[in-house]
Amino acid sequence: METQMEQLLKKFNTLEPNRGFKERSRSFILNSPQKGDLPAGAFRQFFNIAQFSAAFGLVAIFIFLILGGLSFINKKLISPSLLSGLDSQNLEKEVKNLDIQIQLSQAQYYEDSAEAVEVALKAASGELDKAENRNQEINKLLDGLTL
Amino acid sequence: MIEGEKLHIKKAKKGNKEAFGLLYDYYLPKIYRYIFLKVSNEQEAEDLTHEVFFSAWRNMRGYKDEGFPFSSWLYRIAKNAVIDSYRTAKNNISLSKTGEDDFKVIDRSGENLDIDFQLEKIKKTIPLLRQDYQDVIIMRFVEDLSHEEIAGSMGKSEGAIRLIQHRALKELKDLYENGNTNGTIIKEV
Repeated sequence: METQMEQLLKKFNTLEPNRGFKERSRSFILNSPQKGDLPAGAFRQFFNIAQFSAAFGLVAIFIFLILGGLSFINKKLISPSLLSGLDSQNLEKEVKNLDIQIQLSQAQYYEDSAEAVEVALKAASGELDKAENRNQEINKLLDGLTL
Repeated sequence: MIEGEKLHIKKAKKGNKEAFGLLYDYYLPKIYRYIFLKVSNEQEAEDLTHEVFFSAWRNMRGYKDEGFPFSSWLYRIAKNAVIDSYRTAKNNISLSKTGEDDFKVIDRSGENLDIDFQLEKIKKTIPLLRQDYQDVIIMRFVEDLSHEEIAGSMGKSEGAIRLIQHRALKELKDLYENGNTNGTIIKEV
């Protein structure tokens, strides 16, 4: 059996919030972002970053293609001497060849100098022999005079 | 419970404003009454009700159906909002500040002044009850929620709710009729 108190409490069920409050509150809440939503400017910021990255990437690709293309043109179409500095393989070969040339020229130098020294030594030894012969002749003449 | 509530909740969780708007329209008066009868101040009740639904909308993605009605979740948020308002004491409720104007929205057709007086007296008595007594009185007798729904929102068993309901009603009657419980004096209007 429902008591008088319970009947009175049920009457509070007719209490309603102010209509103006309801409309203001509803509008404010529904125009607010939920937790976890990206802020309004986030998409724009992401787009700007993506745009910059894409531009940077395209420039890098463009430079790569230009260098690659020039290298190809240089290797295949134009004289190898022209723009040879752009071909790293050619440069490497040149460096290796240069090293070999240096080594060969050094070997040649050592060979030439050895020959020169040999000739000089031979010449020197010839002079000594002549001087020895002269000494012997002088000794013979002196022996003849004294006897 | 609103028709198609689960679908509306599912949509609202994904950020659908229209779906949350329907939930808002249906539950706003209930949550407002719950808060108003606890704080006894129209302005305070509006502010806290707004906070409750704002918080519900903001945290809607994190809502999980734990087998209790959606209203249980809202009542839990409302209960915490009221407790927080008491803690911060930003707006201490003064019984002397509330007047008969608070009841201007009640349909008075066929009612006499004695009923108005009785309602005003009950309204001022409810905030004097313990928090859990207030909750059960409002949810059970004002909102006509089932024991299961109340249990869900208060995190207690249905048996415990029945017991609280019995004690709360008894204490409300004592306070209403005698104006005195545990040494508390209720000022007559």
